[in-house]
Amino acid sequence: VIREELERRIALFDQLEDAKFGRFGAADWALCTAVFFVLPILVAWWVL
Amino acid sequence: MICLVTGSVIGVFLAVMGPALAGQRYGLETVDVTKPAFGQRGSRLLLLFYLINLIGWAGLILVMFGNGLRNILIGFGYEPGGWLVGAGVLLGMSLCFLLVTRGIHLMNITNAYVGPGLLLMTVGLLVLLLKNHGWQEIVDAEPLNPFDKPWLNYMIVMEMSIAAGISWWAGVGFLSRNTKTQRGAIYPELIQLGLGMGLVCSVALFSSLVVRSMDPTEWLIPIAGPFVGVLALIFVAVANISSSSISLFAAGLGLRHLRVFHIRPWWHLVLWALVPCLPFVFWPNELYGMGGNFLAYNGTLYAPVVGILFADYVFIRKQRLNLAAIFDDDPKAEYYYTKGFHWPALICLLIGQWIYFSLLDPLTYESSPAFLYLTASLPACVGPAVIYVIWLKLLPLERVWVPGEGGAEPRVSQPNI
Repeated sequence: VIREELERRIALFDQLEDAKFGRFGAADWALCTAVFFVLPILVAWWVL
Repeated sequence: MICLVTGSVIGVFLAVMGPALAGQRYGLETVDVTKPAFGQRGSRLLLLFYLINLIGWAGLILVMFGNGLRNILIGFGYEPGGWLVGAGVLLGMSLCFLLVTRGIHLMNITNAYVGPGLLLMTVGLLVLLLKNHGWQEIVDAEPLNPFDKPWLNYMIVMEMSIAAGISWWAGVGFLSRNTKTQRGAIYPELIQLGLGMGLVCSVALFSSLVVRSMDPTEWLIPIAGPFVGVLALIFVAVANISSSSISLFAAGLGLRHLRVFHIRPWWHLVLWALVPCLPFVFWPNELYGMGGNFLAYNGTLYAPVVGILFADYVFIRKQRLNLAAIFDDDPKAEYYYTKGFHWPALICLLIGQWIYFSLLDPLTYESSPAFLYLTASLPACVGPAVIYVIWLKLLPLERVWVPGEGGAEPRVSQPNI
């Protein structure tokens, strides 16, 4: 029963398109990497 | 302050980007997210460290709850003994049990008030600090317990902040799977857990410098006065229970991955998650004093883990997972690898730990010259990630599931839930 239910849910889930979960595209990646990774390193180097 | 904020943001970025996207897209817990990279049995190894993280944080926060109760009584003019802190931890454990066993809904309601309330309280604390003591007094204050070399102090703070950020890894799956969009999973975590935590820690730093105490529950009455201070302490006590409950909830979900707990009722799991917190009842202040070492432990272990998870999900899987294989213990399943372990990831994990220990001893804080420029967590995260990607590019995985190919319904031969 567990296996059938699990397979049924996974099949449903696999059919969902990415758009259902909202887009996190290249621009988001670039923004997050620049603001939350590269910028803090640069700020720390500059200030310290 | 710069080290606190930048370190915290960097640490959360490393911890969040891969696991949160995977957790949100596929509705997975943190432990399930580790299976594609580390294998079915490899992920159970990580489960142990995952539980230590969650239960360790819950224990430390419960000691703060106990200390808070003691300081509330002191605020009312009583002189309670040290035993009250341990008794407070026990009371906190009982309240967490009641909260967690009633499900996620009640915790959501509690947190809807606790989060904004804490933010307001931090702003209020900062305003009072600046009004009563002034920026110059804070800037001129002597450090509480510094090392001899000033540069080493900065880098230790940076290291601890990165480690604190990375230690959010254990809760990332739990947080992100309850969001509706990928952006909704990533941006609030980066801003609140990273930037927010760094700023809140900065206010804590200012308070500790002015009051000359490292215990957060000792700051409120001297800074805010007896009435507002006691009210704020009561609110912090409620917030501590709320935070510990989230850790214990995630720990209970983690225990579910062990076969022995598969069919146990939820309250059994919560009770078992609370058992390792018992030492905090008997030795609260001794264990609380080891908080810095606990943070360093988080950096030691989780830095390579989050690096490998990021590399695996983003560069190897291209943000695509085989959901059926995550729940399948069949040796033929995609994420079973060699007897349940994915050795490249586990070897890279060991390499990451070697990198960490060669840069910094987390117990004594003895460091190599390179630590003063690189920190320990950052190279211990990036190094294994790079090696992992190169390894799997040179020796690619034998089977990688591609969505839409094959056309068959997903099959789970040996469900592991």
